[in-house]
Formats: sequence, structure tokens, C-alpha cells
Amino acid sequence: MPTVFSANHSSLLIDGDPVEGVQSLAFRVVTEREDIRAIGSDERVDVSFGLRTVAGEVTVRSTAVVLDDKLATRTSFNMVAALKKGQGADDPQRSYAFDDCFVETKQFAIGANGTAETTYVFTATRVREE
Amino acid sequence: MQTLVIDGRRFAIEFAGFHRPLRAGALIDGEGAPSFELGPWRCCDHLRALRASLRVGAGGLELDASAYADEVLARVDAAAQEDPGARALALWWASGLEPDGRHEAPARVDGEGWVALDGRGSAARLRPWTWGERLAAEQEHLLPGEGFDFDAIGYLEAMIRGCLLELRGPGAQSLPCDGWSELDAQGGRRLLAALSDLNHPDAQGDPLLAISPALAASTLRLCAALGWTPERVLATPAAQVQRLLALLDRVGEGGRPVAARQPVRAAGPRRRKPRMAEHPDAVVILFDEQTQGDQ
Repeated sequence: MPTVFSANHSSLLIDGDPVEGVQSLAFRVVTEREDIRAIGSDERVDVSFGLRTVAGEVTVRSTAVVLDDKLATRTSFNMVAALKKGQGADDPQRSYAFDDCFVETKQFAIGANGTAETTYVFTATRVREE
Repeated sequence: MQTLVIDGRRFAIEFAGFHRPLRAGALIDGEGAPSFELGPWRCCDHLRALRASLRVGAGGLELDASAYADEVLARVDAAAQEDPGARALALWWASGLEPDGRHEAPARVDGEGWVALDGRGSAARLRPWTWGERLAAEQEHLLPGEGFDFDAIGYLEAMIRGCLLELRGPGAQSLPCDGWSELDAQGGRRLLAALSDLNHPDAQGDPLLAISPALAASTLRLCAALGWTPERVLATPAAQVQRLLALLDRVGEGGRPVAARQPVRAAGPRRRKPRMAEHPDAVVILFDEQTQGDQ
């Protein structure tokens, strides 16, 4: 089951600038792995881990011009998702910082009720939870 | 006495078979009598005359018919040789064809290799020669010179010596195989025709050369997979050949089973790529409407 946060008062910042109309953000950490074999054994003798990257999707209502520019120019950016449960200073908050992000693709969809949303698929070098 | 018409000219002939001398004479206004005699034209005479009158040209083998006729008439007196119709008669005599033009059986070996040489019971048993024998004969009779000259008569003689297994004379009397050279014009012609049909079949009548490339490929598949000759494939019942080809399709050339061909399925609904949020290890953050513009 994926881990789901419902952030009532949150924001998504790209290079420090907020993005309007964010609907959801989903990401997973992907680590390459190779099992090391040995002749004479039917069990792996070691595990070799390779690259660790972050793959994610950001869904925004309508479209996000800043992400469209990043896709077109293929430039990297930093993204921070600041999550707050409420407006009070004591309300739980959490922050996910994505470093060296690149937008790979985007998908546009418009529902029958006329609401449009764009999903941007991105990758990042690392994610830091703060 | 019979009347023979050759090339528009009428001849009176006393014909008692190609193994006996022929007495012939030109008919003028329907009148005339046999005036000269032609001896039996033996197979060795035929090959000797061919050697003297056959040329290998750009279009293949070319026969100088006039020179050949002169060879046939060489033993006839000079007066007969002067007769312009004598050459046509000589060519007919050397051809070994019946004067009454009656139909004769094709000069082709039967299932046991026998071919009838005449109507008196003479016959010869032949076998096809191998590719190696043919290559050796071609090589032996390819004469180097300015370019290459081919001794076609030597090649024919090699074919006869290699392929003649038994020889029977009139009344099915057994003869030595080297007696082929004494065969008369009819026997020699049929012997050479049968050998040509056996070893150099006409491409027009060869079913293997007339089939499409796809069928030729199927035939060769069977030959390669089962070690059969093309003749055996052709002689096998068609239904059996079809079953063998179907088995080859299933087993494959190397004897390994191949996957059975699945029927083409209609394209179903395209499955979409799973969203990131559907991955079990994904972290999903849902932004509420209230978050917009609060910060």
C-alpha cells in the first residue's frame, strides 16, 4: 500500500517559487540491485546495489508553466514539498526536498466535467525528508 | 517395292528393314526402279559421320547435313551421289525412321531400364549415369585449344559405355555390350534417344523445373530433412508429402519442437501503464483545495 499524506496546508516550491494548483505529488525511490551468484551455491552470496534515483509525478490543475519550461529546456531544478496539517505553528509538518530534478514527460487529461489536469513525470537525484 | 516421298521427291525402294541393305532409285513421272544400294547404317557409322559433320557453335551443336549425307553416300557409286535427291534419301536412311511413317513407341526406358530398339525383339537395358561419371566424361572430352573444344562424339560414346548394362539382339538373343556399335540406324537412334532422355532430360517436360519457387523449396526441404532424392519425393503420394511437410513445420529443421502457431487474437482493450501512485512503495501526497494560495 502506498504511503498517503493528506496535507491540508501545503505548498510545492520549484526553485523557491510556489506552484499553483498542485493536486498530488507521488514519488518512489528506485535502487538498482544485483544478486551475486557463486558456483556451487543455490543462494546469492552477496548483493550489489547500484544507482539510487527518485522517480515521481506531480499532478497540477490545468497546467504549470514553470514545469513546461523545465521540460522544454531540459534544465534541472530543486523542488520542495512543504506539508502542513493546519495553519497553527504546532500542527505537524513535514518537508520533502528533491535535488537535481528533471522533467521527463507530461500527460494532459481533461475530464467530462471540464476539469483539466496535467501530470509531470520527473526524476531526482535524491530526496531528503526533513 | 515401296514408294517413298522425301522432300517432294518420289523414290522407289526395296526396304527389308534397316538391318538389310536398301535398294533405291528416283522415280521420274512415276517411272523408275531401284538403281543403287545403301548398306546398313550402323551406329558406329553414325557416330563417325557425326564427328565429321558436327560443329560446336555459338548456338550449341550444329550439324552440317550435307556433309553428313555425303558420309552416308560415300560407299555408293558416283552416279548415285550426283542425284540431288540422293542426299535426302541418305538422311532418311540414316535416321532409322520407318518408311510408312507408322507410329513407334517412345524411346524411353521402362521401370526395369529396358528400351526396345526395333520390332524384332532387340532391346537394351540402361542405367542413368552418376553426376561424377558425367563430370568425368565432360572433363575428359573438353579439349584445350583456342578457348575450349568439346568432343561431343567422345562424350556420347562414354555415355553409351557407362550406361549400357545389357544388350539383346533379334529374338531376345543376348549380345555383348560392345555390340552397340553394330546396331542398325533404327536401333542406334533409339539407343541414343533413350540415353539422352535418361541422362539429359528435356527441361520442358521436367516437373521439377516447372514448379514455383515455393514448391521447389518444399521439395528441397524434404530432400534435406529425410535424405530423399527429388525423384522419390515426386513418386511419393501427395497426401503423404503434405503430412511430412506439416511434421517438419512442427518439429523444425533441427528436430526441436517449435511453438504451435497460435490463432491471431482480436486486439483487446489496451492496458494503461500503472500510475506512480499505484506502486506499493510510492509515497503519495494529496494536496487539498485549501492549500492553494495559503502560503
